[in-house]
Amino acid sequence: MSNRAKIYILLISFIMLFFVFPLQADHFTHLFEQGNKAYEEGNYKEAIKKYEEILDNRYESWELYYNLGNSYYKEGKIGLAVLNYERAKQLQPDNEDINFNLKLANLRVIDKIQTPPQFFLFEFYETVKNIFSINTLSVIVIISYITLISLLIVLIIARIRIFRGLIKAATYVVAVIVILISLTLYAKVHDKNQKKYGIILATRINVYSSPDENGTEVFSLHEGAKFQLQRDINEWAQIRLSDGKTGWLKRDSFEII
Amino acid sequence: MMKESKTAIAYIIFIGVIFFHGISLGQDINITASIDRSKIAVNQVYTYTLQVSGSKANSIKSDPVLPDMKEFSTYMGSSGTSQNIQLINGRMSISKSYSFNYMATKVGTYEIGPAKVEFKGKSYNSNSLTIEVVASAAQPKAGGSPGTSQQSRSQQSIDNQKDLEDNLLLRAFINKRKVYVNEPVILTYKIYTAVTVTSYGVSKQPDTEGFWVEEFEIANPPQTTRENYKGREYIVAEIRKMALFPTDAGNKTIGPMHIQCDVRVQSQRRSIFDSFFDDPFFGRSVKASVYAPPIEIEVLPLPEENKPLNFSGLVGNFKISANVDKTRVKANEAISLKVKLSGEGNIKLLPEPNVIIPPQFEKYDPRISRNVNRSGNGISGSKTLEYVLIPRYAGQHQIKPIEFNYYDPINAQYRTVSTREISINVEKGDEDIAIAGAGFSKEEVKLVGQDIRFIQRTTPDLKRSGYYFYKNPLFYLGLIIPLILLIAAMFQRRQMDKISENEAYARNRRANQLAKKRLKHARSSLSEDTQKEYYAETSRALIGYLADKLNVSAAGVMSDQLESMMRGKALDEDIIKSFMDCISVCDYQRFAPSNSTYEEMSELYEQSKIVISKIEKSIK
Repeated sequence: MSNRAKIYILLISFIMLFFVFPLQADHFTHLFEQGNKAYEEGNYKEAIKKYEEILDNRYESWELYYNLGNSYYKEGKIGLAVLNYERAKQLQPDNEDINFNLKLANLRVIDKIQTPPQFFLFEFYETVKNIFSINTLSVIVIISYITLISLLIVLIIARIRIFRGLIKAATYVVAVIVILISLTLYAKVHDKNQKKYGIILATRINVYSSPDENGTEVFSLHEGAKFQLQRDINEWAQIRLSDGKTGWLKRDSFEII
Repeated sequence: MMKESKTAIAYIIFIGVIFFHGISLGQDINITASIDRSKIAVNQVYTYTLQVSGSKANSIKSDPVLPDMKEFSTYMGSSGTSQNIQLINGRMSISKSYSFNYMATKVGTYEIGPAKVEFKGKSYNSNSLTIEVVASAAQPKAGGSPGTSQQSRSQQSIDNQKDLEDNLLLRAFINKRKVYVNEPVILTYKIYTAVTVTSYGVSKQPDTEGFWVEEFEIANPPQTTRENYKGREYIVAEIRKMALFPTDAGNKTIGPMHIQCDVRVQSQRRSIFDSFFDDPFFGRSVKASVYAPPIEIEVLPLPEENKPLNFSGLVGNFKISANVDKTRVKANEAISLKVKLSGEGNIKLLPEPNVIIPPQFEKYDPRISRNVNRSGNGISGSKTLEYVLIPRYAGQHQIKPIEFNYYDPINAQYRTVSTREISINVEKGDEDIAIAGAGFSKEEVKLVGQDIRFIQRTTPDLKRSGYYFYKNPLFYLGLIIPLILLIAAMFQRRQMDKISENEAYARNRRANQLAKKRLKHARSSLSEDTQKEYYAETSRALIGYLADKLNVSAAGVMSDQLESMMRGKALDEDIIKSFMDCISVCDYQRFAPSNSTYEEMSELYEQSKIVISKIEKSIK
C-alpha cells in the first residue's frame, strides 16, 4: 500500500505545479493602473502611452488589450481599437465586454463584409472552439488527462469491489472528454499558426489583383476591416475576406491580430 | 369588199389608237426654258429657269442637262427647285422648275441652246432663247424718284457699268487650297476700289456647305490699306474673314459672294434738286454689284496610319494643362481642379477631356468656360473645365495625367499631350466621424447612441507576450509523468499478479501431500474413543485439500460454497457427490456424535482417499 500513497503524493504535487504561474510583473501592474487612471480622467493619449509601454516590454493580458482598445476607440482610431479588441478576444474568447465593444467598434468600420451562412455543424464547432482560449484549453486538457490516468491507476491497482462499475463508467466519460478537448486544442493551435487575420489601419486602401501598384484595383478597404492573411510576398500580402473576395495589398497598411 | 373595208377601218382605228397613245405619252413631259431678263449688263446676274410639266414630271430623277453658256456667262450655282402640283378636272398636272443663276461676262447677243431632260431613256429638249449682253453701267440710285421705272434704272446702270469695271473689285483669298478634314481654311474677302464706296451690303452670301464656319470680327468701318493691283492703285478694305473647318473629305466649292456697293460718282449737276437730294459733295451715288468667283478647295482625309484609337478629331495645335488650388488639404475640404485646353483649331469642338479622379474624392460636374479668339490669323482660344473635388479620406492621392490627342497638320502627325500627375496630400479632417456615421444602416443606428463599456479595473494577470501554456515544458511533463505513473502501475499490477499466481501453484502442488498427512494424522486417532477428533481431522483434511487446490482461504468456507466452487471447476458430479457425502458424514459425526464402528470409520477413511485422488486427477 505504500505504492499507492506515493502515487497520490506525486499527483497532488503535479496538479499544484500548474497553478503556480510566474508572477513577476508588479511594475507593469502599476503601469496598468496608471493607464486606467489616465483613462478615467479622459486623458486617452496618456492611457494609450502607459498601456503600450507594458506591451513594449512584452507583457500582455486580455484586460490590457481591452483597455487599450477602449482608449483607441475614444481617440477615434477605429482600426487600432478593433485590432486590440480582437487581440483581447484571442486571450479571452467568451468575454461579454470584449464582444460588446468589438461589435460597437465594428459598426464604425465602413466596410460591411457579408459572411455567407455556413453549415450549422460547422458553426456550432466554431462556437465551441471559441468558448475557451488556448491556455484555458491547455489547462483543461492536462487536468482531465491527469484525472483519466488517476482513474486508470485506481482501477489497475486497487482491489475495490464495491464501486468498481461506477469508477469504470467515470473513466470512459473522462477519456471521451480528454479526446474531444485535445482535438479542440489541436484545432485552435493549428488555426493560430495557419489562419492569420489582419485589421486595416490605413484610412482607405486599394486592394489590387496582383502584388503590383499598376495592377487592376479589385476593391478597396477602410480602416478596421478584418481579413484573413493568405501569404506574404515582400511588402505585399494576399488577403481574403470572409465573403470570399481576395486581393493583394501593401504590407504596411494593416496589422496582424 | 365590205369585209375588206371593215378590216381596213379596224386597222386604221388600231393604228390611230397607238398613234394617239404615243402622242399622249410624248406630251407627258413638256419643257420650257426662260430667263428673267433678255437684256443684261456685263457682271450682272440673270436667272435661267427650266420648267418641266406633265403628269409624270415628278418622277424625273436626273438633273437637266444645261446648255453651254460659258462663252458669255459664268455659272453661279443653282437657286433651287420648286414643284407645283395641280388637279384640274380630275387631271393632275405637275410642274417642276429648276432655277440657275448665271452672270453675264461678255458683251454681245447670244443664243442659249436647248436644255435636255432625260426621262425613261428618252431625252426631251426645251426651247432656245436669245440674250443680249450689254456693256456694264452703274445703276443710278433711285433716291427721291419712286416713279422711276425699272427699265430706265437698268438703262442707267448699263451706262455706268463700264466705268466701274476696273474701279471696283471684290477678291477672295484663301490661305491654302489643300487641307485636312477639320483643318481651318482662312477665307478673306477684300474690296479693291479706286472710287469712293459709301456703303456696301452683301446681296448673296457665299455658299459654305460642308464647312463649320467661324466668322472673324471685322472692324466697322473696315480699315483700309493701299495696294497696287494690276498696275493700278486701289484702296483695299477687308470686309469679311472667316475660318472654314471642312467637315468631310472631298473637293468642295465655296460659292461666290455678291455685294452691292453704293459708289459715289463724280458727275455734272443735272438739276438743283438732284444735287440737293443726291449728293452734298458734288457727286452722285450709284449702286454697283460686284462678285467674287467661287473657290475650289481640296479636302484630304486624315491619314489612317498611327491614328489613335480614341482620336478626338481635332486638327491644329493644342496643349493641355491642369492645376489645383491647394495640394495640402484636410479631408472634406473642397479643392478646385482646373483643366485648360488651349491652342489653335476648332475650339468649339474641343472635347471634354477624360479626367480620372481617384475614388477617394467626390467629384462634381465641371464648370466649363470657353474663350475663342477670332481676331488673329486663325481661330485660337481655350476651354477651361473647373472641377470641384472633395477628398473624403486622408492620405496621399494622385490625379492621373489627363491626356488628349490631335492631328498636327504642319508636321503631318498625330500628337498626344498630357498634364503632369498631380499629388494631393489629404490630412485627416475634423468631420471624419460624422461622415463615417452616415454609412450606418438602420438597425445599427440604434446602437450609435451607446458607448463602449468601461475599462477593466481588476489587476491583470500579465504574462509574457506570446506565452502559451501548451508551449510550457510543464505541459509536457503533465502529459508524460502521468503516463509513466500509469505504466508503473501496470507493472506493479503484473508483479502482484505473478506473486499470487505462484502461491496458487505451490498450494496446488502441496495439496495432495498435505491431505495425505492430515489423513494419516486422522488415522492415528482411528479408534472408538477418539472418534470426534477423527471426524474433525478428516473434515479438515478434505476442506484444506480443496482450499489449497482452488487457492482460497480454508477458514470459514461453508460446505455449500465448496460445492459451487467445485462446480465452477467443472468436476464430475459423482466426485462432487462423494466428496460432499464425506464432508456431511464428518460434520454429522462431529456435531451429533453416535457410536460408530471402527469399520464405518475406516470406510470413510478409504472413501476420502479415493475422492482426493479422483479430484487430484481432475484438477491439475
